[in-house]
Amino acid sequence: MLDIQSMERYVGPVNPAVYPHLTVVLLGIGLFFMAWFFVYEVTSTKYTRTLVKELMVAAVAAVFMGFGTVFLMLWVGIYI
Amino acid sequence: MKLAFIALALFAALVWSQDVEVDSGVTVSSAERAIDISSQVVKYVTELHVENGGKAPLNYIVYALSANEDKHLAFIGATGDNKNTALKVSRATLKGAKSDAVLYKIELMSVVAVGGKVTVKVEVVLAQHLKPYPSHITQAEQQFVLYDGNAHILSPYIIKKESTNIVLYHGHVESFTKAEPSKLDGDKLSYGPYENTPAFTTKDIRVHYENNSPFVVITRMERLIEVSHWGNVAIEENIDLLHKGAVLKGSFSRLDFQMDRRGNKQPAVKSYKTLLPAASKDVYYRDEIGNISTSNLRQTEEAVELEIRPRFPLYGGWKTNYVIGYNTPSYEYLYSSGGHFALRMRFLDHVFDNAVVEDLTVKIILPEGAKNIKLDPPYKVKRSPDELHYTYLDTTGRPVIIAHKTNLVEAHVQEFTLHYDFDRTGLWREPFIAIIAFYILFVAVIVWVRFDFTIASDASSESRLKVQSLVETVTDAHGQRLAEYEQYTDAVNKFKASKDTAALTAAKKKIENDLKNVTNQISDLQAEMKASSPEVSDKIGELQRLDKAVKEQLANYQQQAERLVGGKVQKAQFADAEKAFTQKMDELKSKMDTIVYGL
Amino acid sequence: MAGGEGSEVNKLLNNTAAWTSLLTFVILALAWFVGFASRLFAIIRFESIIHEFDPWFNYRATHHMVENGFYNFLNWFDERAWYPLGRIVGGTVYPGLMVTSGAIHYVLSLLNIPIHIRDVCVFLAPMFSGLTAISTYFLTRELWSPGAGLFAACFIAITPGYTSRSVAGSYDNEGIAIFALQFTYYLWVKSVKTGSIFWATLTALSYFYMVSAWGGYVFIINLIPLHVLVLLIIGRFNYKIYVAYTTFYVLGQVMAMQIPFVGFQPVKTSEHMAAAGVFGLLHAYAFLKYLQSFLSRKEFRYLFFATIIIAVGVGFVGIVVLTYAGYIAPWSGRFYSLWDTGYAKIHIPIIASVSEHQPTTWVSFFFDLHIMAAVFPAGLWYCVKNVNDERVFIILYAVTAVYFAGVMVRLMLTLAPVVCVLSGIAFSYTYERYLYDEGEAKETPTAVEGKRSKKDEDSATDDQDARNRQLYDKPGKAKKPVKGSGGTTSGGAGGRADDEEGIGMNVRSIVSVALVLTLLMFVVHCTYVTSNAYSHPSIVLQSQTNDGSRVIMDDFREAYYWLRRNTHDQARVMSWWDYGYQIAGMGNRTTLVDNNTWNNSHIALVGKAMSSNESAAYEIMRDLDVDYVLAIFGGVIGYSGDDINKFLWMVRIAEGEHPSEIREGNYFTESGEYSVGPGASDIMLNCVMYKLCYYRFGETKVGYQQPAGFDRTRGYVIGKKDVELEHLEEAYTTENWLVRIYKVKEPANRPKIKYTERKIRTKRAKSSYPKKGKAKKGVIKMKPVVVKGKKPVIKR
Repeated sequence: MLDIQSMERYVGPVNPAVYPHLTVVLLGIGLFFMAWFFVYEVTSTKYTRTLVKELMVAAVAAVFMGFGTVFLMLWVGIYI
Repeated sequence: MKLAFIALALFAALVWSQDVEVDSGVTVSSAERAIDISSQVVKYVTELHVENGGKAPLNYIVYALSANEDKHLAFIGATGDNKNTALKVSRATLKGAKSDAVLYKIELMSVVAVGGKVTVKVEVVLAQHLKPYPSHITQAEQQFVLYDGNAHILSPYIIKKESTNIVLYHGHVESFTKAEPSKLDGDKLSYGPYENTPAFTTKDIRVHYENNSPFVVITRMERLIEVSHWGNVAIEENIDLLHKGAVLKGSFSRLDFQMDRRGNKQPAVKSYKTLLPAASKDVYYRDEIGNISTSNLRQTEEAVELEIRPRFPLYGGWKTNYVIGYNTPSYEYLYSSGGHFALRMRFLDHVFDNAVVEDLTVKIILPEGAKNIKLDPPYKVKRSPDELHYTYLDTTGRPVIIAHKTNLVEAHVQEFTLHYDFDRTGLWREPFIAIIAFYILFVAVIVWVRFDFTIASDASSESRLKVQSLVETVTDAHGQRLAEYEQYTDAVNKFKASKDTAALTAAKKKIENDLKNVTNQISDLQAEMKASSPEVSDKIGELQRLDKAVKEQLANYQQQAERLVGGKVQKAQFADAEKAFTQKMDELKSKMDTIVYGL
Repeated sequence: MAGGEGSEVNKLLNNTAAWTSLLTFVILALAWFVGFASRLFAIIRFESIIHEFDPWFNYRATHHMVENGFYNFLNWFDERAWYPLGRIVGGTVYPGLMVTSGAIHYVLSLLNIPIHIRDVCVFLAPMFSGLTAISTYFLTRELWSPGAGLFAACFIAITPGYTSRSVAGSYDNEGIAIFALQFTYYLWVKSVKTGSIFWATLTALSYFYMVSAWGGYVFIINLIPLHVLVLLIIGRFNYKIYVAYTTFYVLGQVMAMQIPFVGFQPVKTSEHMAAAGVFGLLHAYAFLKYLQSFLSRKEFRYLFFATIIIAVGVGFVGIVVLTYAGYIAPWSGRFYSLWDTGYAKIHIPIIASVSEHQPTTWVSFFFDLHIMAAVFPAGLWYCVKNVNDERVFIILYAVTAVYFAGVMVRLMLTLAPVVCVLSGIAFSYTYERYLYDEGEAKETPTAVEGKRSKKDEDSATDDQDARNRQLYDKPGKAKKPVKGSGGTTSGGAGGRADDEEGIGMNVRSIVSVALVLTLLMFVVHCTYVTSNAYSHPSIVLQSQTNDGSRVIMDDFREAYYWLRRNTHDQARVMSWWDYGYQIAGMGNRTTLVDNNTWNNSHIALVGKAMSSNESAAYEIMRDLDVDYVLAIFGGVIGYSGDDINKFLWMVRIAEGEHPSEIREGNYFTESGEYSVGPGASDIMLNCVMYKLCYYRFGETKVGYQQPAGFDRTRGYVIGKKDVELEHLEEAYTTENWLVRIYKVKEPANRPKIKYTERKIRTKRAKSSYPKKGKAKKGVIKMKPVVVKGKKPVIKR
């Protein structure tokens, strides 16, 4: 067990001042990809669909939306 | 009473009673005691100047409290010459002692040699020792309390000179026991100086005086500390208050309350100030049924002052409950070194001045994945088994450390340290779960779209869909082809300007190749569609024909350009030819477009 | 290849079907968001709290369900209400609301999202308003076109008629019931159009949800049979209607009977008899239609009329006979008063006293509907002109809803959805004509939807069907891109000839712009109304000081919290029924009467206690084990909804049950006015309500210039200033005197009268214990010795 005098103060990885900007940017991009994904699903028939494209777009959308949601929660005050 | 027994049992259980010896040669040359009974807690600050007149060196001093006082003991602490270090205090028993006093052994920092002197300052806080008398009062009356004490300083040693000063509340003193020399001067009562008091002398005194300070006791307090590695520590306190002064008898009249001129000098508690840490933000103050709007927040340099007004004023016997919460940045309290973290915070924080807490529970919630948790409290606390707490984006739950303590006063506002290990990459787990959640949603949509719930398959619509998809591919290919034509035209125009035959030939070759591929593709598709839908296939056939015408036009144009470069034809002629070419191209293009969009 | 990519993006941009669906989705998402956001005024200004009175009971029931499980909720007997009678909550409540929030809370807690049930309840209505907008979109799309659907969705998201009952914090049945209503209607229209059992079953399921949610389900179960009946009468019968209605009726009624509160009502009350009658009639008609194929025309006509008349006659007589015999309950008071508006005032004063049950004024129509009140008749007219099966339904809905909305203010809520649908139709129709550009190429009929779908001139019913059928197709084929509003470069089919009514460019633009401005004003009005009129939590009052800063008066919660913390757990609180739910919800104490008002005599007892003098009231209070009495008094701050203003209703209701002891006339002044001033009658000045409100008020001054005892709400000095209480004691009064709580004192000790002064002198019994000596009272020294078989003898 280390002595507390030898430790340094812990600061969070992301500066709280950028939470709003990060949220907007990440959620914006995520929403764009999500819209693309859903439009693709709605307008394609079973002959024009490709699984690879669907999964790729979904993955990108999920990544951005996931991060965007985390920062949204931090911005609002739910410190998860 | 129950509280006193708890305190007693706690102390008894925690501290083995040790045997001490009192050398009769050790004397207290002078002792001053300051008693403060102006608030609901009784504070003794006793300064003992001890002389070692005995035969052996002295490593400890024995301090005594009467049994009655010990029942209400909340805090006892001692300091020696160095004001900053606390001396170790433990319960003790004296062999052959005749008195029923409770003894405490105070271990000194350095041994006092024979003939040496040492000064020890002992601080004692008694909680709920003052008794409201009369126990029931009406709204208009003042509150009087009884203090039972000792005119002499209770001690196993002989005291050569002692004096006691009691600070009372600014108010009326009904009566006090006279023990010469004693003097009442305003709100200060002094007993002494007495000389050569033998050991264990008691002279019971009783002071009956007015005390309108808030007699509010926190019957139960739960302090929740949530640590987030995103840089925030959230604190929430749930407090049950009970006014333990003289109980209200009769009715409560709002009119009398509003007309009351006594202001802060009445026994009812209207508001009080809580000091929060300096960097607190997002403070909320509410109770079970909603937000309480009667509060004021003031930011000062050292702390954030929150003036709390409960929903209703607290009269004797009235209780209420509220929740206070706030966020503080983690750099105030959380320390780290690699994967090892330490949290240093106050076990009990300031609630209001001279507060008494009967039961305190502290719960510390650490992030998911914290291991090797060790709690280092400032005083003895009782640990409950660790629990798990589930909140946003949690899978396995967050560890919760629970500690209890009873009978605390303001002197217990001290810091604890909590050590734990946490893998820093564990912070990625939270966005990861959010990403997985969204991905599952998308995959569900992908699966859903592939479901076919029709009972009978509709051949015509199926084939229509198929044709549609093929047509789309054709349209794509056609678009490609158009782009190729553009490129070709551009190449020829460039050749016109730069007269670079080699480049033109190279470009032309590439374009011809691609065009061939595309045209073949379209023909294949046309063949496929011939069976299922002849009109579409016909249309595509027409498209191919027009395409041939375009190719002819392009070849023509190229020829013209070459001729121009070679000087075989005039510029004006060429210009005409060019215009004709462009027009023809546009016509063909629009025709093709119509066909394509008509598909 | 560069060309390839370019064409890919090109294709994306040109794929109009994709854009249409994206645009629709975005518009509906925005409508949801706007609907949600415009209901949040109260949350932002105050906090997330349940408003008003009824929602508190719903919240308490939901809380009970979350704590104790669904079956304990369904079997809950609440002994803390209607003391000493209790209330069977499981059987007297519509559980849909509680189950919905409970389910949402449960799902969230499974995902480890710790949202408190109170927040779920507060935000439930705004969430469901978004769903209502979406179901309205679907409904209007079935009736007219997707464009009209989008208009209707946007209208209903913000219209004040709906917002008034679904603000955040208003946790009441209407919040989810309107969604269920619209959804059921959408499914019904779909079933009528397709005639498939699948859709009819879905309608029945949605109807089941509606029955569990609101007592207004009676509207659905009468409107749908009415629709079928009208279709039969105007000769539009086809087998699709037969399939749809029979499936719906059977499944719907069976499912409706699963709700404990509804029980056997669907087969035993008059309100449901219309559905049964139409069911029978429909079968008769369908049977006759079947026979038509076998018989000659003349025979058939004779048979047809005879059978129909017999069927109707038998059915009607049967129902009347059963009603008289008592097997079928007649129309209940609540619904009968919609027909006979004077009924309630005479026979059921409790119903008449509720402010929501008063007739609607013209101002309310405009206030709640704004321009839609003027526009929706146009939509109605278009539906009549282009009638088909489903448009008959909307026409009937509109007509009945307008009638009911005129009878009772509360039913403006059922008018709002249909007005939005019809206004959406009107706007869509108008815009389609006025935004149509001349230069655009004519499209073949196989082209699919767009926000401004091209309409042919002879758009009437037949083409409508064709288009409607295509609306179900997947959006597939790419549409030709519109190349500007001027001439085309493609040289395709020539510009549309002016075979329409030749609307000039100027007129078109003026009308379009004017309509857009009207719509903007509508939005502004809706937001203003929602913000100012319908966002009061009524639990917290707000006013402004001279320098503009906000003063919050939280007296209600102050009093209820005091009750909650400083009275013993089994304490019983007597107050007027308005506050029962709030006391139970916030104060967590047993009440005598509450807003459910199911027992008129009990309420009358409380009313009698409030109207009598103190001694008579004390007897009633001792009978009912009352510990505390609560009254609302607004005289210090000028709050006009207090008990003194409601007092006449207390008297009237008490008079209804105890006409010999309480007479309304006794409480007026000599000139017949209702006043608490100097001219008030003695009975008024000595009744308990007066004393509770004005105890020690005569010594206060509400302002520096005012005389003592000046009542701000009434506007004059009160009649009797020195109020004395004998059996009650003031326990707590809140900061602004809004809530006054009194403790009921124990009966006074009987006075000790000397033996010589007594009127009745009983023989003084000699004490069996000697007064002197060792054997004092309380000391058992002279125990009687018990010997078996002998009577014990007390030795002296």
